[in-house]
Amino acid sequence: MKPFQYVYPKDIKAVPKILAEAGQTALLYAGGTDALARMKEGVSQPDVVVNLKEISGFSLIRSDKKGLSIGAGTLLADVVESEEAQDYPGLVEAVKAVGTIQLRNMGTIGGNLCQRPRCWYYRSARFDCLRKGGETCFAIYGDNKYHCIIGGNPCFIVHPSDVAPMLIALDATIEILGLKGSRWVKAEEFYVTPQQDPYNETILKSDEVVTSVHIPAQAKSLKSHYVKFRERDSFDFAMVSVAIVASISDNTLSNVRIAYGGVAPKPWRATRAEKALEGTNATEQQILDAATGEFAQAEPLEQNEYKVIMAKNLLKRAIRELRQG
Amino acid sequence: MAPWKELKEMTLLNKEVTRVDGALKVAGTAIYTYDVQRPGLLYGRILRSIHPHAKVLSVDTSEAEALKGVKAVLGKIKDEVNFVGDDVAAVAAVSEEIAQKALSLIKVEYDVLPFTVREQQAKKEDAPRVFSGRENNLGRSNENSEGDVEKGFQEADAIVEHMYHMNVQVHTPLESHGCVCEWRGDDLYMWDSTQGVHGTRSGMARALEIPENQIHVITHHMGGGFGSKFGPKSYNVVCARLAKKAGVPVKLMLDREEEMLAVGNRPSSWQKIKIGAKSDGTLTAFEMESFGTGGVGGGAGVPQPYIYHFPNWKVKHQDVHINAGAAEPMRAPGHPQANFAMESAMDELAEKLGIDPLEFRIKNDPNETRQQEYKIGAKKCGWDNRKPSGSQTGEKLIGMGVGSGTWGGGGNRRTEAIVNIYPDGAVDVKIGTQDIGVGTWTIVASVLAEELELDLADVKPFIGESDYPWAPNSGGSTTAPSVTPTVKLAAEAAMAKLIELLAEAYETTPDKISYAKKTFTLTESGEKIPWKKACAALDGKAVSEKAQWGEGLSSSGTAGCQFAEVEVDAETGRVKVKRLVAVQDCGLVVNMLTARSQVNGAIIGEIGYVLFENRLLDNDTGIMQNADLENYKIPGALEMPEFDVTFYDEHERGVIGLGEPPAIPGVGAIANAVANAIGVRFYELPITPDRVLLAIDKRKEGTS
Repeated sequence: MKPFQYVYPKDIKAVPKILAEAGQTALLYAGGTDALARMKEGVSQPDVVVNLKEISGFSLIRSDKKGLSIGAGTLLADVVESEEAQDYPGLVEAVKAVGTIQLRNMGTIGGNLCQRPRCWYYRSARFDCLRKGGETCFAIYGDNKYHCIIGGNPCFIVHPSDVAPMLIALDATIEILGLKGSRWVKAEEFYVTPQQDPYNETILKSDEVVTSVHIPAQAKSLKSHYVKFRERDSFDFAMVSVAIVASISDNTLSNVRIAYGGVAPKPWRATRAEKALEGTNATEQQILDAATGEFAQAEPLEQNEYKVIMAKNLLKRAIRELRQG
Repeated sequence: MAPWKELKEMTLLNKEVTRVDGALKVAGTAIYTYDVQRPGLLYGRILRSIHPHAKVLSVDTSEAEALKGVKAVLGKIKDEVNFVGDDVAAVAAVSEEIAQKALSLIKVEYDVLPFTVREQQAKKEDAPRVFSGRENNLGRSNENSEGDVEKGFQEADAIVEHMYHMNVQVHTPLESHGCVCEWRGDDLYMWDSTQGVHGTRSGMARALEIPENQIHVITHHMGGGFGSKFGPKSYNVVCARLAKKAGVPVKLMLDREEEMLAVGNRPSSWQKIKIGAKSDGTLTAFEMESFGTGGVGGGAGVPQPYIYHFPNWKVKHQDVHINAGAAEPMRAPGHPQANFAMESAMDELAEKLGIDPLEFRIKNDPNETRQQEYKIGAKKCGWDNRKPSGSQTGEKLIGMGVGSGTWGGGGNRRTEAIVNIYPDGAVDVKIGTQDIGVGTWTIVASVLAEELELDLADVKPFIGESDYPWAPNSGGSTTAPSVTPTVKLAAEAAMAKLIELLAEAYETTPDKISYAKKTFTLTESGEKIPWKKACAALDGKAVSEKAQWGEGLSSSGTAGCQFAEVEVDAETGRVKVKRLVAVQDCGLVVNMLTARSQVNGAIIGEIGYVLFENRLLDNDTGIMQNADLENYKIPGALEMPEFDVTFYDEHERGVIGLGEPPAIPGVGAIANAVANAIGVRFYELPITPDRVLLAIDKRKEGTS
């Protein structure tokens, strides 16, 4: 591991300046479950590591009429256990689906949203891949079972977050602090495709840090649910996951919002499927048609055609369970 | 020599005795190799090849040597590297971080050569050579046959013919390979994570060209090996040389990636199989042409036609080299590969003939033990409820499958042990075996205490050091059948000697002294002499008796079968093993708990092999891209089935090894259960959700 300067500001306001001065060579360190592994592998070689653990007020969960606010430094485990979050069952499910209990005890909400891809070419210092500034995405002709089926090119990662798809489905906003002050963006707009930026997964500029997320209060009729499929229940990132929010009355779905994990380089808002299902009874055939429409543009790689089928099936499952729950 | 006691007379053996080292392990005070601390200890690291094949032209270590904290450097370990992860150079430094930094300062000039990491390509004549200058990439081959295969297939009413493929599996012990080397004068003390302290000592003596009695190998506790840790390996020799050069002890533990690349794996297997039977279910012929790779090593052969009786059979095998780390024996080498292909083919043939797969096996399996085991297993798993293959629809599909296995597992006649009885009544046994995690500490102590009719706490086992009497490597399921008879015989000899000395002290003859439960009785006077008093009467003389392994207390040859019940999630393709019924013979079960633990562990390995584990080598670079525990997937706690283990009682055969036998039958059983559940058969492992989902989808399309 490369030697680095270690700073631990107490005030979040100090962070943008530290980041701006360090330029691209700074690394934000909260739970460390992702960052430390990258540093050990040599994929991230920061000159400055900014420890966010000592920032006061960085970890908080607050609920009011407007909705739920979660500080970026809040532990995933704390979200799962917080009373306030229980009004957002889909969120609790998504956070609970992250890693293992040990990882949730370390990892934070902000870190989960900003974690880097798990692509094995990206993660190995032995591959000088496109996302790290190289010329090639090795997934195109390599082993690409876990890679994206839609929205790829020139890089075919999937975004690994479980929390992000649910935040998008819940129409959450993310608070970002930079040198120019703070700004709020829709969770959906927080993420970018490789076409927009092949080196970063989010719109965060080099002086910016995520400070909190806000989930608007949900109408009583709205239900939320997160379904994650992973190869091993014990510990794995999603092969495909789906977050859904909708009202169901007289068997009819309305206000449908759907976001997928594991299928695209960013959490994938499934607007076509949403439209197709809005106002319908969501019969098995209707769900299948909606998902088929959503992934009509999918371009699976050699080894991940299964994800198209899985994405369809999981939407079926998500709606079935949403009805039951 | 007395036989083992009757089962009903045993107080420790054949019982659920908890591990004598359990408390140490739970408390974290058991010293594993990683935990060994020595004065002035340095940390060693090996620079490994980034190329799958290259000549090493030069290694410049000057900058690394100049780095503060670096105490010893070994330049250019070999002239040609043949896989990514092969040894290039090594350093020892005051911290792991400095050692790692030093590696990055070593400048290596390579002449990069063409390579191959695909065995299908490697076996072709025009393939790049794995080893420079060799005529081809072919390793050992063999052919064997019996009867007339052509005639056999002519007699067959149904024939199944397929290519079965299993990729490379990696041992993945949770404790990686590694050692600590300390020179004391001319003597080398080496704490090593090894499956054989004696084997490692001999090998180190050859490698270092020093006498064997200058080498002392110590393995007190170990976090698994599964066949990958028959030392010494190059890291041992590198570490010893670094320690010699530095003049202080060096610890060299491999990290997970090195563990995946450089210290062993289970060879791949490609088996083109043809199998035929008559309409009444009688097998007529078997033919196989196989190849497989053990990387730069060998050992990809498979023991076909495995356990079934074929009047006519013919097999032909070819080992193929690729530019990948060398294979090492892995829990029943060759058998799981043979099992998957054979059991899959048997099931498919049974289906073709319209015969129940279990009935088909019973008809063709000549082993009498397994004949009984099939009945027990079928009852336990509810075989009668098995539905016809592919008959289910819906979200959750249930399947059942069966598979069988065989293994040797006899004792090694060279094994020796010394039992000491001290004047204060203390008792111990010294035997140079090792506990690779399976409970050897406990069974050694149990046999001694049982034989001397003492409590377990009254005896002290000494194992895991090469300075103790010779015992074999823990491999081939030979440890229990080697060690238990030997300890028993040494205990018998010590007791005889004790009685002899006691007779002298009490001026009588040994035949007039009886012994039971810590008390000697002078049969003429009826005087009772408690254990401690008897030992004290020896006038300061300790009893020390050595014995060698003897016949009659152990056997070789096991039979086992396993039944798997799986649930396939038709929406995700996930296979969950719900229940695994194992019926296994291993002669006299020495310890019920550790034996069950062996079977459970073996089943976990089977689940990993069939459903998860898959070493992936990048075709363009030769790099293993899942050399970590995130992407090389071994089953975790939530992937465990309900374990249902039954030992088929054949205690009269004595002790038989159990490490490997139960690691075989479940492979075919699980694969067959999947086929039964979804109506599609996989000819390739692992059976992962992506493959299952595509298969289910394809099947749906076919039927709709």
